[in-house]
Amino acid sequence: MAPAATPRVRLRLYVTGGTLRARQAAARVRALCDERLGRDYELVVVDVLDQPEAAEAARIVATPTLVREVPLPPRHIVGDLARTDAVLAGLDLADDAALAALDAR
Amino acid sequence: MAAVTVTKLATGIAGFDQIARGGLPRGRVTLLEGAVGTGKTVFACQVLAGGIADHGEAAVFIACDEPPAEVRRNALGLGWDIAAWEMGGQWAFVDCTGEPGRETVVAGAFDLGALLARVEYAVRRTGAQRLALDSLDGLFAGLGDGHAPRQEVVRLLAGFRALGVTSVVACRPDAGSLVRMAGPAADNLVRLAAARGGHSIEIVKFRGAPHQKGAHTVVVHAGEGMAVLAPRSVDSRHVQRGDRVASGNPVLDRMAGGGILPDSLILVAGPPGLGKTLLATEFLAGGAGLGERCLAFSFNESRARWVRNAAAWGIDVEKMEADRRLAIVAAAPQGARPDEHLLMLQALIDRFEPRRVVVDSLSSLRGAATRRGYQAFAAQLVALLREKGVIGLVTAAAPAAGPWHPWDLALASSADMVVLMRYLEAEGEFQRAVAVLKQRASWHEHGYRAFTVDDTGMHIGRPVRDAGALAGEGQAAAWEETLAAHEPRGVPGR
Repeated sequence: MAPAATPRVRLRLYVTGGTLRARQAAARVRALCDERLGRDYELVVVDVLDQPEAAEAARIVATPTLVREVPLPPRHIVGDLARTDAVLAGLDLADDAALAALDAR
Repeated sequence: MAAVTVTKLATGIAGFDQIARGGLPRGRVTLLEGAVGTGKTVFACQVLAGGIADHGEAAVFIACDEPPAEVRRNALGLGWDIAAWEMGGQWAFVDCTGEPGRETVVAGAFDLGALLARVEYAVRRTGAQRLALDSLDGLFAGLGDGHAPRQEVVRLLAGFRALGVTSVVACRPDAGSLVRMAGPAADNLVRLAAARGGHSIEIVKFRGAPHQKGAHTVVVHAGEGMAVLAPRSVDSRHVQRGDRVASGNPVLDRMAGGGILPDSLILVAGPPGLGKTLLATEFLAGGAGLGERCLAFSFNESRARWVRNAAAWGIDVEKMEADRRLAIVAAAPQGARPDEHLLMLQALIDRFEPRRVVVDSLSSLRGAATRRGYQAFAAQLVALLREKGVIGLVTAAAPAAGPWHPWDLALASSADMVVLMRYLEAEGEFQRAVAVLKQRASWHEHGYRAFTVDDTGMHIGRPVRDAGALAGEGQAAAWEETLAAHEPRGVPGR
């Protein structure tokens, strides 16, 4: 199945270089979204060392920072995303029916 | 290992560069500690503005508390057009305030890689040599619970250093662990604090670089920014305290225990027309006679009138001026705000470098200020005179019922010497009388002496015995006790 033309959730993950923390954060958000949203999301990883002006425009201070751009309001989830509950709450996915299924397993 | 030479960067803050012996250590991080409203943002902006205006050095401002629009607006009120500098590529903001409505949650370990990348980008783009972060506590307040990992604070400051910029990092002193982390990580520590009558600044630490110790009074002036009331000469305060100086009136010297103390502040209080200006003029003539330079700041009378009055007392003020021993400057009390008078006085002292300074009379400002404003001015005046290391003589009108106006009690407390003039009803007639109510840390005569005034000046005679019920020795003693009760615990600048 191809990704939806207009994904329900659009995410941007700001990281500093190819550090372990950056790779872990990217893997965690992918795993979570694949599970909860199937293909109905878009994730772009931005390296602030390559694109400082993008970090400037989005006023990013810490890395990693996961920004939910769509839907509004904008959400910033700061850190390596190890705290899954906080990530799900930040993305408004915590009360998804899928969560119950996850817990049941 | 060879010692690293520290070069200084002139901040453009009047007086600060003097106490900092040239300015902030270049290429290093200075932590600027101060509570809300003590002038951290003004200091930070002024360091950057001074770099652009005086040295063509570009600047980066990391805004964490107030958004750039607000910083621009406030700076404009102090005379700095940041928007124009931004257009010219000399100033860049790194905005960390976050847009309204944005929600932030913390979900794991983080670093400040994005901030450092943005700062580096801004520094490279503008070629900045000066950097300010306002404030560290504001930065971390935007990151969840505000708890900063120690290594991130250390890395941030190291990152600024690595960029080769001279940076000023503001932080509230009550920001707990943040201050404990940033303090040791910064090279320098400058502290701003609320002080009686205004604000003070103190250089607590300059790693490997000389600076002057102690707190100094800060004045913030619309249109010009901040100024620090700095001492004229560092050495002048190390004059031996035991050395006495002639006041200009030998009998007064005896009453004061053998002359006045160098660097002391003298308050002369008394009703109008009794002879305060005369005593001040003799004090000036005494200084000029010793070859000292003297400055008189007159709120009461024009220069011409002072010259005429002095001539009537047999004192040739014009000759003192011609010999460059004296400068009389008259200022209309209502002609400027109190802090403007203060800055003018500071500029005069710096230019003329007097040993003695007279301000006659402080009470003339009462009509032009609120009680608070007047007392703030008096406190700042005291600080200025002390910091300049001069012998100061300030006159103030006292009401008939007591030795000083209630507004002047704090001033009387902080003065080293208090001279009181009164009309006494004694031995069946009204007499002019003078008493020394206080002489810091030394013996002085108690009680009144009568004096007369003629065309050769002020003549202090014998002690007044049998003074009438109006104001006798007993009352003078009571006033001395009042004064002692209001004695400040610590005297600023000592």
